[in-house]
Amino acid sequence: MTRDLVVQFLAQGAQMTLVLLIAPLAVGVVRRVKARLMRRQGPPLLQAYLDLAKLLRKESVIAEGASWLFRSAPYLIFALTWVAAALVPSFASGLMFNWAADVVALVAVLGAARALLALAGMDVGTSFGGIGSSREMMIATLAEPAMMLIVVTLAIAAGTTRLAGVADFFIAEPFAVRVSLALSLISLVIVALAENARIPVDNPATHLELTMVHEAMVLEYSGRHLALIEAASHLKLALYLSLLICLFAPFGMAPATAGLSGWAIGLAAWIAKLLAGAVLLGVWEVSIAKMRVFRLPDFVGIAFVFGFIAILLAFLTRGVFA
Amino acid sequence: MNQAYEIAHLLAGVMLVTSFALLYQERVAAVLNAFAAQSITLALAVAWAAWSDDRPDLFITALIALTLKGIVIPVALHRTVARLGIHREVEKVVGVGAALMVGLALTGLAQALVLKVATGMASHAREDLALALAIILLGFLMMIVRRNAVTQVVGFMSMENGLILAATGARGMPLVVEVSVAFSVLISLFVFAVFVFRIRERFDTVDLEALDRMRGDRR
Amino acid sequence: MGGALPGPGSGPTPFSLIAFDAARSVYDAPVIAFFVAIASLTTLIVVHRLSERRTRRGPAWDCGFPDPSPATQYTASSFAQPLRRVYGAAAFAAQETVVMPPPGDMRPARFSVVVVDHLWRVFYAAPGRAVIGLSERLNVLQFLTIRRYLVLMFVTLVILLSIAAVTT
Repeated sequence: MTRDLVVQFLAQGAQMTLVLLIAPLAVGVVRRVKARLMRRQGPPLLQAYLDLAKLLRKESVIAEGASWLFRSAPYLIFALTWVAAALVPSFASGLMFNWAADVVALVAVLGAARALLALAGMDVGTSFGGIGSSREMMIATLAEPAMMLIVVTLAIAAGTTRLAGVADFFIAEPFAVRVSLALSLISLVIVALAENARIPVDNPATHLELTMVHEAMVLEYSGRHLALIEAASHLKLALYLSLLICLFAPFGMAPATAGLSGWAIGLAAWIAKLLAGAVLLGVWEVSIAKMRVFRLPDFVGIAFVFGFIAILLAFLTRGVFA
Repeated sequence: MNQAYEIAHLLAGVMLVTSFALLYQERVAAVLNAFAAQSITLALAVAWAAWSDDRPDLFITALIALTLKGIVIPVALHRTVARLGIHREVEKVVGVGAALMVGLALTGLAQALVLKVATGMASHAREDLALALAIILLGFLMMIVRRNAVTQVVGFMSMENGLILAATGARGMPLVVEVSVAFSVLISLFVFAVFVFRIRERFDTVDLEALDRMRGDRR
Repeated sequence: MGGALPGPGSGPTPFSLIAFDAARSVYDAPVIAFFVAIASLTTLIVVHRLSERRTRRGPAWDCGFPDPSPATQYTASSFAQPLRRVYGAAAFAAQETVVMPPPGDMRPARFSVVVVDHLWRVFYAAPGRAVIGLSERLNVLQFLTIRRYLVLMFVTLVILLSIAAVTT
């Protein structure tokens, strides 16, 4: 019994470490794909790791008016995002932590991280921080209700809001295209783009302050604080990619009872799918332009509408997969 | 046994009649006399209950009612009225006829209520209770349809009479309660007398309407 | 759905503090808090081991345009500006009026926006006015005479007795 428990514990720890280690690689893949598609050489795939290492080595410059919130927020943001990432099934479903929280708790933990980031952005009192925070909150008011609708659709389909339970349901069911799931897939993709500050919502590589949302909030950070925030945003991207994978393409994921071989297969499948998702994200970002900030309600509103229609359709067709 | 109840009802009925009498009096002296009559009747009723139910402690109650409320207080109030030169007439808010009509309605209400509420009691006890409740309500009515401060005091004390009558009907009113009630009556009398004295000294009148005018509450 | 819930502490992990039902989803706040605490501590320790510990205080960067006047800082209403702009037409019944004089006219152009906060209007301002009006009417009760108060008491008593006589 205790040996089983220790193994479970180690598996959860391994999942957390792995997702942390893979995330910068995924970001590197995205950047490389974008550069190659624009006929540039592009940075090496491991550039994100090198950037983090460089930032950790540098001295941190803190603005004179900054408070304890500014200094402690990066640690908390990173920890919250990491805990949220531990919740999403990656190579195996049914790990230990998933019994403590469901998708709604995941959204809440990410929302707490976002709130801290917005506060830290406003802390120094500069106007750019204010721009970033207020726009981030506006995007949140649009994206989080859509996320909730997606959660409800999944709960109607799978009968539970526990992520591992939903993943198990989608592993077990035959691979059938249901319109409600397709609509919630589109909705979740839009929400993921909004939450991760990707084009068309926000340009992660911009240097123009008035087009920044996420970057404007972290404008004053440097050194190890900036390293933590960057790592948190990489982790959030890996989290959302894992979420999309585990919900809509879960083949290869090991169920809770599989042994080491099952986990190895699950791990390989997960890494492959994650990098494939990163490639797709890169292609998408190159193909579309960033929207004006006040056109975003229309864009994210599509996610809301699709989520709502998905719920209605799920109710109607519930008898099919009862 | 029957005769005991008949006499008790008779005495309670006389008390009710004196309550009505309190309502239609025109002069303060007559009001005080009616109150004295009511208190003496109360003393008789309590004494009768003491004798017929064999409860000796009620004799003390009867004695207190007789001395305090039947003799001492009316005499003291007579003297106060004479010394202060309070109006000999009682100013009315509502005419005599209307007040008597309302009194009748209240008596009917008391009857109906007791019939409804006290279903488990014996019928003679119910009658007593109904009469006592009617006396209480009539005392209250007197307080609100007369403008004189002295008559308000008298109305209050006739409410007390009704309460004591109701309490004698109930089983066992301990002596301590009786004594405390008597003391509270005494003290309230003194308070009222002092106030009336002071008002009279200050304003040369105890007519409530005149006092209202002076205070500026013209209605 | 699930059967009877077992007592607390019977979850699948040894430090589950809540009742557990396999068919439902659960939310175990202490475990989440515990994980967040562990993650924060780990982050703190590892980052302080691996990184440069020095910090320096300097002026705010602000993209090279520092302006420390309070007028440039974000207030509550400026924080809400994107929300007002996005939801103004829908939730706040925002109305714009533009007055544009013809060319050659020396008057300035005017642009005004009226934003109505419906929550304030319905749930705070209207009950507030009602309460103030009602209390002004009821204030009369402070200034009655003793006899009138007695009348109030008497009427209440009679009404209650009548109700008791009729309904019990």
